[in-house]
Amino acid sequence: MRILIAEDSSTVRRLVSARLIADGYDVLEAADGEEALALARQEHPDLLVLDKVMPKLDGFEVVRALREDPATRALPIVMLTDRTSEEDVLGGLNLGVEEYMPKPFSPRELSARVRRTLDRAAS
Amino acid sequence: MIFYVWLILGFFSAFVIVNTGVLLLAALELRHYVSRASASGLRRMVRSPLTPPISVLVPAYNEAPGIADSVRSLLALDYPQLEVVVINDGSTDGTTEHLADVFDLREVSRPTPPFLPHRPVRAVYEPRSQLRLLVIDKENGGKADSLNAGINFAAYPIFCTIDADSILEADALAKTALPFVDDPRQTIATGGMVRVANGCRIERGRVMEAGLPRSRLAMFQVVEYVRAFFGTRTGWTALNALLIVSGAFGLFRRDVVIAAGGYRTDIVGEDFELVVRLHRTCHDAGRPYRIVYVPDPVCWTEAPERARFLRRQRRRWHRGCLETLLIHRRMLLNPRYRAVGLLAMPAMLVFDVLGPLIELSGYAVTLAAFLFGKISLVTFVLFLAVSVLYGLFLTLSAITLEDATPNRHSAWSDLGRMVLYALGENLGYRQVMHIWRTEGFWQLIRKAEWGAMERKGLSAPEQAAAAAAGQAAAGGHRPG
Amino acid sequence: MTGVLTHLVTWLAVAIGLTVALDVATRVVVRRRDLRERRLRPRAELAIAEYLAGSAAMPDMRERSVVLEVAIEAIYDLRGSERARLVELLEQGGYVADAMSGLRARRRVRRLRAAETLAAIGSPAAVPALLAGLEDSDVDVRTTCARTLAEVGGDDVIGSVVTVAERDMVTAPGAAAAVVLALGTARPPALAHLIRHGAAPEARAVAIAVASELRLSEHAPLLQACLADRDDLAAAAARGLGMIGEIRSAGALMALAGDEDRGPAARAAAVTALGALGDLSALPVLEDQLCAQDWSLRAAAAGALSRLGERGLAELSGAAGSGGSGLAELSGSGGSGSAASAGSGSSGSGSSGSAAPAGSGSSGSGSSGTASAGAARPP
Repeated sequence: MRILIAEDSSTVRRLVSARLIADGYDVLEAADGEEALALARQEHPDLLVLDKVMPKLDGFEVVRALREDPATRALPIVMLTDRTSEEDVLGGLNLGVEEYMPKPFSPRELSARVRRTLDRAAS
Repeated sequence: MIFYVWLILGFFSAFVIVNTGVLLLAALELRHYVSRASASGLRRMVRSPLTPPISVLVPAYNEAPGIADSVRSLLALDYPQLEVVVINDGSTDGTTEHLADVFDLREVSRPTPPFLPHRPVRAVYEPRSQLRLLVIDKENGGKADSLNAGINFAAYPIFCTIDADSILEADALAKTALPFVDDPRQTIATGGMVRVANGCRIERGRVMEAGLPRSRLAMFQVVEYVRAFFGTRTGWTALNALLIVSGAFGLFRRDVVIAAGGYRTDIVGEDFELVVRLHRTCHDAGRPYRIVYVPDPVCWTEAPERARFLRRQRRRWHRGCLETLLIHRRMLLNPRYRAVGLLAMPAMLVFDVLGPLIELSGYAVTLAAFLFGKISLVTFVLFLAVSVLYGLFLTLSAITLEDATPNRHSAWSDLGRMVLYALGENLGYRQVMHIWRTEGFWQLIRKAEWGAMERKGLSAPEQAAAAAAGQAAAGGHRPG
Repeated sequence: MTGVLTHLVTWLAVAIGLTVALDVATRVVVRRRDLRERRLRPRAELAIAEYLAGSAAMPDMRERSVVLEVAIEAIYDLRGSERARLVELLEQGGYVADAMSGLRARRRVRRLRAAETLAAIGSPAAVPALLAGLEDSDVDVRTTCARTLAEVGGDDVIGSVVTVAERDMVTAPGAAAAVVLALGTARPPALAHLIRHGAAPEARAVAIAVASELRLSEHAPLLQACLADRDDLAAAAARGLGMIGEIRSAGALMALAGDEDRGPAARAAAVTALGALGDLSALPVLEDQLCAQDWSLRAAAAGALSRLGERGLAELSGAAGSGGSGLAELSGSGGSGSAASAGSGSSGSGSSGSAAPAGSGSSGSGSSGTASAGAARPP
């Protein structure tokens, strides 16, 4: 299973990828929204872990672009963000994000949610 | 003649004393700022529920080419709670329809709040989705009038003004709002750095890659802006006598601006006038307050690359300065207004408004004195050298201050270009600007036509000429 | 004349030379620091991430400043067992001890950095140093220590933390507010003292805002008592009761909303809160406010009614008469004209995001906005 992590903080990106690699996933990394979109289209990952606030394209814009494209419409997305206001969460869920994970977060919990989301997507 | 020589010398000495003083204050203030600013503080602010929500006001006149990208990039700013309020100032290019298409807007019925007067509102729109966006469609009344409408409809206690063709860096809003968090009672206005966007790669209303412009005229303005912002505004902030918060990027407390009466619609430099008026009303009311320039948040803006537009812009700025100083002439040298009345406003009057005239006449008189044999060639050349070298010193100091602030990195070749242009700026550019500014005098007297600046779509420079229709919304950011 | 000018030119040339040299030196220093970090940072990030993901290998701790920087950034985004593991690693690596001694440095900047490091790490081992830091001469250091103690200190230190928050509220309101926020997050009961009558009004305003934003329902009775206080506190408390959803305070809010002797800002806040509570018994009071003199109060009333479902909407359109379909959507602007007394503002941030349930769509054209404003006045 291949997971794409889009997150502008290299520290957080490493934390997430180390956990996911330890749990047996292949991991791709993107440092901004533009790169995330490009990798999602080229590499066909099985799931996207997406930060909300990123340079170039923000998380919501990436979601919108992915959902508009038939090739990536079904890509499951786990949003990882420190925006936890009601309108942000609603905004994300309305756009069709599968999971909403607030920061500060636990990488182990994130990994569990990734597993669950993948299982649900498979069934 | 002798009298005149003394006048010039006196002017120059005062110029040196004040500017060097302000520069030193700027260095101290910057040091203090850097020592306090920490990444963790900013991140804490972005997560804190106590961070005040902000209404971002975007006055738009015929901005259809770039407005959607602007709004999108504003909505994506790294700030916990904000709304974007676009005020369409009677555009004739379908700005509202364009926004309605892109953001799936629907008309809603909102009564016009009575806090500030402005031209009638035709309709108010909101997106059907969760986006925090409000579009106000009103009759044409100019930029100040649009801002008043925006302030009226703004839902939050702090509002941010931004030009539709300017771009905020993602963390700029949070950085500029920090003084409001640090001292919510006293902080009434803050501004950030305005930079020239001409050399940057811009896509979808965002700066993808920063860079220096290729155009010479724009390059001179880069140097000019750095000097104005780092050398001057930081220093005046230390005295709490900051007179200018750029119209292109400034934050204000809504209730204080409403109490002061909002923007004046009958003058050119409404952003400058408002800040001076805020100083005035706060001092008159005996209310302790702070108006702060924050050195590192960045707003990118398109600078005119053609002499014609630059000239128009400078005339307007000069006229605006003069008008405001005339309106608030009672504050001049009035000890009641402390550093604002005793230092900042006289400095503005003598150096910025009269300065160009005095300097130009100084050149003329020195030249005449040389031609009539009153002074030797050596004296003449030395005299010019002093004036050019001091200007160069100020500019280079400001560039040094800029390089000392974190998060700004540029190549060594960029530094070379900056120094070169700093020299050129003092060897010709400045003098030309002085001539243009002096023309502003005549304009004020003759109340000539409104200036119009070349407008560009943010990702579509080729549309530039199309939107050049004259309107007062142009050129609110002044580096002077 | 020429002599003076020559001197001037020489001096200016020297000054320019020095400035350029200073600039070049600054750039060299900054660049070298950058390069070093760019070289070391990825290694530190990878080592810490792998350690937290279960790797047995201890990260290489030689590049202390880089490791600390990365660790602090990680801690900021982590919680749970992984965070605890990282804190433990920093304690063992001597980082906490370093920062504790840094708190006694002579230079203010060093003390502040040390305090911020301890705040970021949040290690209980630092409590003694933090307690000493409460007496620091610098307000930023004091409040940073207090904020950290609120999170990691025991019951015995909370009293001193509250004292710092109250005392520094005037000199450094933002930093002191952060202390109150930390208290509210980590130790909600400790807020009671600050909300209660008797504390400094500035501190009370912040405590009320914190209790509201964190929805601390245990403090609802105290907030209700604040409704009788001066207007800005009453407005903040009313807003908080609305946010918490304290239905038992509806009566007190109604009394405030209808009290002609109180300022419009407080009354508008009460009206908005009643809308948020959704208590239908507030209908008559709200309807009365549609005729209030103050615009913000009228707008707040219309906004509140629009949130009370069918019957509220019926009242609204009744009051608005024929041109009233627009009024149904008159939400949002409630109280926004009132002075933003506390930092977070007493204005209608609570109410304004919530889209009114009324789905009447677009209504009328150009003039409908102004028309419905007029309609909010009594016929």
